[in-house]
Amino acid sequence: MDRKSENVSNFYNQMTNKFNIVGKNFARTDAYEKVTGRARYAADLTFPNMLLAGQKRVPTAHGKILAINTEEAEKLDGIEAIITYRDIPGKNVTGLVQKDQPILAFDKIYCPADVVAIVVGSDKKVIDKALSKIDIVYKEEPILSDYTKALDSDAPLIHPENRSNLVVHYPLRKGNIDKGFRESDIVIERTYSTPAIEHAYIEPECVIAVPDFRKDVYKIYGSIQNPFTCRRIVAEVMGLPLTKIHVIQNELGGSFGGKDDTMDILAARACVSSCRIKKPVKILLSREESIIESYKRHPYTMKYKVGITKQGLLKAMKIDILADAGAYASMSPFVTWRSVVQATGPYEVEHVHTDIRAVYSNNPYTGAMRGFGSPQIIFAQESLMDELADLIGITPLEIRKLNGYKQNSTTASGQVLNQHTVSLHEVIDKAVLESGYINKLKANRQQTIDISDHLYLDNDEFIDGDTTRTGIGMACSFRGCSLGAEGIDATGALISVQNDGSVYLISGLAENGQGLRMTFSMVAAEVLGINPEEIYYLEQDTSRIADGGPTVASRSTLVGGEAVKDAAERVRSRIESVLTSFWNVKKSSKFIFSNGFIRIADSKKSVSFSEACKQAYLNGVNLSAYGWFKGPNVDWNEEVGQGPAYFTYVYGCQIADVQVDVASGKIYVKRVTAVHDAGKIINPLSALGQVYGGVTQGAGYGTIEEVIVKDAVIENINLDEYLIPTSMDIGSIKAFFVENPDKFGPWGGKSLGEPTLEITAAAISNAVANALGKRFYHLPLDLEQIKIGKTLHQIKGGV
Amino acid sequence: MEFVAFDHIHEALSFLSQNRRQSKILSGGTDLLIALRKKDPSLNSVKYILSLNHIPSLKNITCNDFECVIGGATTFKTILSNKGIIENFPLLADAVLQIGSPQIRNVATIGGNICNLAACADSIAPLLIYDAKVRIQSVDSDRVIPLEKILIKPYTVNIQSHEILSEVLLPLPDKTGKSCFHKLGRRRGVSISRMSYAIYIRTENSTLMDFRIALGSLFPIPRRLRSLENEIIGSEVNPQLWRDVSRKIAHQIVDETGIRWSTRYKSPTIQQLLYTSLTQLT
Ligand SMILES: Cc1cc2nc3c(=O)[nH]c(=O)nc-3n(C[C@H](O)[C@H](O)[C@H](O)COP(=O)(O)OP(=O)(O)OC[C@H]3O[C@@H](n4cnc5c(N)ncnc54)[C@H](O)[C@@H]3O)c2cc1C
Repeated sequence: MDRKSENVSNFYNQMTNKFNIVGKNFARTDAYEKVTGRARYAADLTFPNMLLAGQKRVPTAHGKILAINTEEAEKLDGIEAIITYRDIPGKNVTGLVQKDQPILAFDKIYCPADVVAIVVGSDKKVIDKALSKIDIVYKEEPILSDYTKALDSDAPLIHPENRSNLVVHYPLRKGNIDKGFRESDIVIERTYSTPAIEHAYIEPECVIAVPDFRKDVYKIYGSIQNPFTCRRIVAEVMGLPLTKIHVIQNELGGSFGGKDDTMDILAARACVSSCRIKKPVKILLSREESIIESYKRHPYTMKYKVGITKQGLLKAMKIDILADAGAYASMSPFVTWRSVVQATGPYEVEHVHTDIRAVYSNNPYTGAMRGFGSPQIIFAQESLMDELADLIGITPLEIRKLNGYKQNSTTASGQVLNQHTVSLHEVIDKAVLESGYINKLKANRQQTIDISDHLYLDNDEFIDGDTTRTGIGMACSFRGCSLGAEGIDATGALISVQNDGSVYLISGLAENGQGLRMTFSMVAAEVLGINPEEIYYLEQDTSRIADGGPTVASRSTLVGGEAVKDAAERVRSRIESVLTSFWNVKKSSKFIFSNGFIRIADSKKSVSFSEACKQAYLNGVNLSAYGWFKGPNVDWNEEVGQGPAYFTYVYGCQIADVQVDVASGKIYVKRVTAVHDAGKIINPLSALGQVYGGVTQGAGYGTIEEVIVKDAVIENINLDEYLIPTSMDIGSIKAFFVENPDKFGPWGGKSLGEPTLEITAAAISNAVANALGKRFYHLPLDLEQIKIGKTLHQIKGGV
Repeated sequence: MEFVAFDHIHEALSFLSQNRRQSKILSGGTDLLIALRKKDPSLNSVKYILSLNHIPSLKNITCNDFECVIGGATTFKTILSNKGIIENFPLLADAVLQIGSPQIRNVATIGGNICNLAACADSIAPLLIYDAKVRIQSVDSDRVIPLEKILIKPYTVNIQSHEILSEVLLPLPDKTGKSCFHKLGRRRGVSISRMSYAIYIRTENSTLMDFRIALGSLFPIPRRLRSLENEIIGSEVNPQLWRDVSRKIAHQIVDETGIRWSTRYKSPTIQQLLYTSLTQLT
């Protein structure tokens, strides 16, 4: 029977706080190759007879396609084929939730990213020439770029068959909102808005489709975030069963949630092209194409009306949020669902009335990005908490302590938090202590300053002396782990121990640059008492392992880690059986696996791990095992937005120290104190990496990043104009981990990737308000926002 | 397009004169490569890319008792590691240290910065403060003229396509004054100047004896404000003077460049920044 012995599980209960491997620092499995430049990315790969592909776009954001004329382009020497929607063997229209996005445009242009034709050839120059010779006849339609007008009765319809631009609407109703406001002493209403931002992964998209010698079989290599989603889309587009498409993931030069739909669609286009010409086809995007074609973080407009008592107890929140989905639904239904669950923040509010809607526009489509619907609402919620605290004369700390979730609190969706340790107060207290929050908060408030935005300053408007002011601000959050009621939450892992004791490992979730391969190796190594560096982590290939769902939602360590642990424990249990008979000891003997040896407690019996594996092999015992983890059931009532949305949660608090130069409006983030309870930290080194990266990315969101869209066209399409923070732009990041146990996750290891990013911008904004005594409601807090209270845009030709 | 390189400036000059208007000089390439990638129409007629990188005389710095001479193809990295520059021309060193990133400074050159003549070219304002001259050579001519005289309009300097800017000459300055360089960008690393300025001030008993100011990214090209300088030299130094000067400069900018998309931000900002710097210097 393939079952773990009781023995094994007992053993773990005893050893939960004593680890050999877990909790120690290990460099990532790919560190050496990446640092020395040996790692091979998709763009480095070539195959015999491989051709390149260029993509034809139309310079409009909205139009009806009347004709696609490719004859002139086809005549060019060196062009192998021009691919249009007519070449697609299966389904042309895809979408993860809503089928609304064509692989190749055929009837309409929905946004400037749309591709109408693919030119395949061997020479980039010839391809470019051919692209310019393709003639697409189209009729312009009115453009909808201001998404706040998408639901107006006269708004142009993006997908007319839907009869509305509404993509999705989630209501949430708890208590009685009118009663809540009646019971409040103070009621305020505020509107916040956040921009679209770009993932800005260092490696632009690349994919290669290679026809196999076997009929109808294709291998797809690429910078692919989710190989299984990619396989499904390509199989649908090709009209082939899943098994005929092998997706092999290459090293990823960053993703941050951004190499999902875009890559799936590019893979499908490459595959269709390679099918037509029977040769490998590579699509490699330039940075400009990458920014034009890839989806962005959702811009949100958020109206919050909040009622509070004089004592500082939150009574009622009425929340109305509009999200720009852009031209396609993509992940909008999932992104906005997370927002509706978490929109009140980690605060107990008796009466909640939330509506969130995502709407279509002709803007770049929006989808998954690290944070996934949380950074926006956290900016609103956490700004509100500080502002409310000011109004009733308590500190931002006090208002959070009064209202923040405690053990057994009830969330806005009616979920009682009694299945895990609710550590909100613990993370806040730690952050307050480590940052010296209280004293700094008071000291900074002494400063007053008026910033004049007059074209010419009057004599009394010049500021004498130092123009920099310091500020400190906090923000905190709770975050549901993994997918929640969004989707099926199960994943597998495969471990294969060879007869010399060396180990292959792979899981259904994919390395995205977060360091998952080492984390999983450490989990397996802990169970088997071996060195994680000696585990050979297999190349991610959809034919090697079962579909484990997407690598998203900070779920890898939690869900994938459990599956890896399960697989390793199955093997361990079989080795224990082999040794039980080999040594002829009692079945209840306690085995200790550590440092490459297996011993029995209180006995001299000991054998090396490799010798034990050899014994198992000689006895015909299978040392390969599949591990599996399925998350417990979660539930959601769509009508009223009630239910236990996620099976467990994590908590975080960040405090930012900023310096603002009121002469220029420039913010410098001097220090961020980041405290996260992500449960057990498996690899502290990669956990720190998550905090450093997340905080820096969050600071970019807070201060400089914005995809500038004018009439649905992106203006800043390269990294000289779309700015992200450099290592010079952030001071010190002090990370602290609070490690509460959880019954889920390997030894209670949960989620960290997204929590680190989602709160930083809010903390910075609160710090700026503390510095200037003035609050901002729109991100990013760029120079102009701070100095003159609004964002000025002109990218082209401006200095 | 063909790539050519020579070991001696004379070979390079004769190649240029034989292939007038068909050659483009490459120094560090940090501007030119971008123009090439963008298929800038000004490069349509270019057949040869001529590299200066193998001409040693263009890549070093010499200082004597009167001046420092920087070769036209000297990298910012070399400039920053030169004692003569750091000691005598602190404004230049400050400005150069803030150009791009270490990777950019390893290859980008002072001649390229001048000849590309972007509004935001950071080395130019300090060079103007120090009354830099440039040496321009061709097969049949060799002239030394003030830097200011070759700065014509954005991306255009008064150097012909067969000429090479071979040297930047910096007379050693009076070291009794005080100076500052300020650059404002949207971020700290790899940042384009939204505005920059270099100031040199010398006072005696609170009388302004010398005053020089040059601005970057505020006019179409970096500019020294000579008439304003002359107007106020000899004045009594006090905060009111600096408020007036800051405001005057803002007026001059708006008068000459008009109300642009960025004016609402830039005008109040430059006044306060200048005022803060000027009061700190005196
Ligand atoms: C990432 C990045 C960041 C940057 N940051 C900054 C910054 O912070 N501040 C700043 O000022 N600039 C910055 N730049 C712009 C650029 O690096 C500078 O302008 C640099 O000084 C150009 O020098 P170069 O040697 O690379 O010039 P090149 O690109 O080689 O040449 C520029 C132009 O000058 C001509 N030319 C070059 N040398 C000569 C010569 N000796 N005689 C005649 N003509 C010549 C070339 O033909 C060409 O037209 C940045 C560029 C990049 C890519």
